[in-house]
Amino acid sequence: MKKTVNINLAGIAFVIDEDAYELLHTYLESISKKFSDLAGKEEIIQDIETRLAELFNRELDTRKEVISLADVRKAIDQMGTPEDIAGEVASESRDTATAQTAASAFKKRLYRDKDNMIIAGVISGLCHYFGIGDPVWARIAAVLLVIAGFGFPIILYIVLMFIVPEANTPTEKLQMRGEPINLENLEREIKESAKRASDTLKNTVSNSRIRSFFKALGSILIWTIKLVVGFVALIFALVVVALLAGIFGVSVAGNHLLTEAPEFFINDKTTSLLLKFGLVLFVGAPALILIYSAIRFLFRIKERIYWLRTTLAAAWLVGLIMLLLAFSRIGDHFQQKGTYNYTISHSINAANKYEIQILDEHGRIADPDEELNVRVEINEGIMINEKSVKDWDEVPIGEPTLYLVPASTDSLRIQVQCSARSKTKKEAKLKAQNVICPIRIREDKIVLPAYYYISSGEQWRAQDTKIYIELPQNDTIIFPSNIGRLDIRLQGEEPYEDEEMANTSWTNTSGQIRCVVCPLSNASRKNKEQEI
Amino acid sequence: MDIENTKAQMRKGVLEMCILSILLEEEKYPTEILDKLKEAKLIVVEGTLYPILTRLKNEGLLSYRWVESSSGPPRKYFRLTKKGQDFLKELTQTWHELNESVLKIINKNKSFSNL
Repeated sequence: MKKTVNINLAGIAFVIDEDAYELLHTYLESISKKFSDLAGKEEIIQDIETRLAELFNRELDTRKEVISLADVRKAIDQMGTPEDIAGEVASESRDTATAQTAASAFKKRLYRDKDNMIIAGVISGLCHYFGIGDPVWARIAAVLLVIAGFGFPIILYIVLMFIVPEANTPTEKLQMRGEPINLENLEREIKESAKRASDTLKNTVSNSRIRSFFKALGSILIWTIKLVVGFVALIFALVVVALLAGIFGVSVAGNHLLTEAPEFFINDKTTSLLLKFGLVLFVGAPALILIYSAIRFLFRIKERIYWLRTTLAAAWLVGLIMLLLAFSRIGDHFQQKGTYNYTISHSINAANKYEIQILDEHGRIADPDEELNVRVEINEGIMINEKSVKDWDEVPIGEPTLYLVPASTDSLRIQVQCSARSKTKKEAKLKAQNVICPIRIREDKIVLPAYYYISSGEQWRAQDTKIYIELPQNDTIIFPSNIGRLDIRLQGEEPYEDEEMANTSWTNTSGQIRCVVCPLSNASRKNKEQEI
Repeated sequence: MDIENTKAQMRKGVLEMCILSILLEEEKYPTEILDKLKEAKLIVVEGTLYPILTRLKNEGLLSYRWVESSSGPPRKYFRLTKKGQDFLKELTQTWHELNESVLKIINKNKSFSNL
């Protein structure tokens, strides 16, 4: 029994034995190489193929259906060797052509040697490649290395087993041994492999059990690895699908990120749907491909569903467009900026000295070392200060900036300037009005929040808050130790480092804000400046 | 000295002229040309014909047309061009002259014919 190959010779289909095909292929290749420099090479090859087709056609007419090795040999004898044919060409071009043939034919390639293998023929293949005659010593060395505790030969072996192809055809076997691919060598190889095939048949029964044991071990190894790889891919794909299911409210662990996080930015249904469907298609299409490939890989399914890839690619594209659309719609909400100002005044001026107090979200004195902490978690969505956005009544979204400015009036005033963005100026102003910034003045205390807030259910629209304390002439402001929680801007003073602000006092001296109690004296400050 | 090689060289010199001559009377496709050449023992292996045909065609001495065949691949029927005919005329003339001179030289050496 022999395997056959279908070929097209000068537009006529032939069925040809595999070994005969190898020989024919090499023959045509070597002619082609001989003529590599010659104009009209294709035409000559074409004409020769036409003639071969005629010869084969004649053979098949009379007796049989498949072209055999003998037929090809006969045809080649009739046509002449590449050297004969090339003899007709001018001699100088022949020389270069021969040199080229020699160079390319001697190119060695790494193959696994299946005629001489214990597990998968990796070592015997390597020995061929590096010109080591007998693989036995290399095998012993590999085994010794493993016994000595080195694991890498095993890993290397497995990797090579997968990536190095097996030498199956006579041409590949010649390449594996680095022998030139010419007609003689090929003929010899074909004969030898036929002989080997019959030898293996005879020896199968008596052949060593060790070899068959290792062969089984090898195939078990390959299977295990394939199984693991396949399962990992499958599980990964399933996780992605589960995440997507979450978008539609199906209760699966880890769905908050996709269901709730967008609501912090989106308040209209269309955008939300665009985003969700877009995400499903954009992530889901590749995930399905992954599942499909994993299943094909695991169960070694050769058949492909051709429409699947095209359909999924289209779905992915639609998903991408939906996502872009959704993002541009979200972007619309940031087009215009609006501000909203209000004033808090204090009529009773008791002490002329005001102490600032900064309170955190729980109404306690804010810890100087903390700050607004925003994270994104798969299970909880957006987390602010370790609490999910949906669990806050008023969501802290930023830290206000504090401006200390000299007042033109006699009484202390606090101006608050909130800003936000939206589609129109009007809407932006409304959004700005909704920013919560709880400020109180109690006798000689000014209570400021460490954060500004928005109500739960409100969207983030780049809100910002600036607090202006207008300090009357000769009044003093005392900063607490946690003043670093706010971003401080002073009018009329050199900028101070944040850490220098704690426990300082400031006063308005003839329209200038001056430091009264300073950890760094003016003198040392000057020195420092000079150093810089 | 390789005698086969020398013979081949001699054949090679006249092969072009013979091919052109074969095509002088009527157009033929390669298999027919091969049959004629083999009959005259001018060609040993068939493959050698094709590079020559291609070269003659590229030099404008031959032209061809495709003809469908009922029993195999389509055939290229070659014919002489005007340039080919002129070329052949000159070659034939040279051949006759050469032949005469060569015969004169060989026939002087009577001893060879007795070998």
